[in-house]
Amino acid sequence: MWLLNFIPDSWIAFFVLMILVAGIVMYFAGQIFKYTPFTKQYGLPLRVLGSILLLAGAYLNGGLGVEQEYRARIAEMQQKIEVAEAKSQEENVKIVEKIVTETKIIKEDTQGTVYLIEQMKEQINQGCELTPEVVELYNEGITGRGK
Amino acid sequence: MDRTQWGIVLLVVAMMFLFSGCASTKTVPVTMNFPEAPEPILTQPEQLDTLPEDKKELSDLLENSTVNYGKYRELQLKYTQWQRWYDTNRKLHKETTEK
Repeated sequence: MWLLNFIPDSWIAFFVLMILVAGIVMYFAGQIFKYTPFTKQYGLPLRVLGSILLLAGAYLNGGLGVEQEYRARIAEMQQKIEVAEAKSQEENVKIVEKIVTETKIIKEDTQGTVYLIEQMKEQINQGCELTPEVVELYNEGITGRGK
Repeated sequence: MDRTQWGIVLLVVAMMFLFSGCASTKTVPVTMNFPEAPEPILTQPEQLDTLPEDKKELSDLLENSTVNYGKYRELQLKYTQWQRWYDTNRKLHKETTEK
């Protein structure tokens, strides 16, 4: 059935209608042929074939509406997806820009503060010395006690 | 059965075929791919720096803390951008897949 996706809608609609029309015509032709002398023998096969085509045409006509609606839904869905993917991509670009810009600011901030600390070293330390226990406790806060 | 009855039977069966054709439904085979997150929010977080044991001054501790705070702020930024990315894509997915 997936092959139907490659055939234009108008072709399918025409083909299906022709099956139905052929079925009706053949069925009624078969009815008429029954009463005419030279074509009498063709009456039954025509009616049988006409009935089969009529039923197939009726089924396909019903299915065609569903098929067309199905194709419309696929097209609509594909369009929605394309729009969503484009928006998602746009948002990704904005996110990357924000991260790059703000990371630069944060790094500059940090460097600025470190520079100030270097400048004010004497003022900050004032003879205060860290014991190994302080360093150890401080590092435990960073790495966690479990490590 | 006479001819008229056969004709009615054929008509009824044809109608049944028509309706059964109408009743067939299919699911749409188009799906939305999982969106790609931008590279900067996928990177591993930086480890915090510990203070080397030979560092004895308060300014060393302060410097180390400042650097670590900077790392935290970078991570905070990426975290909020992750949330933004998720919210946006969730909204887009909802808009696309809901009828």
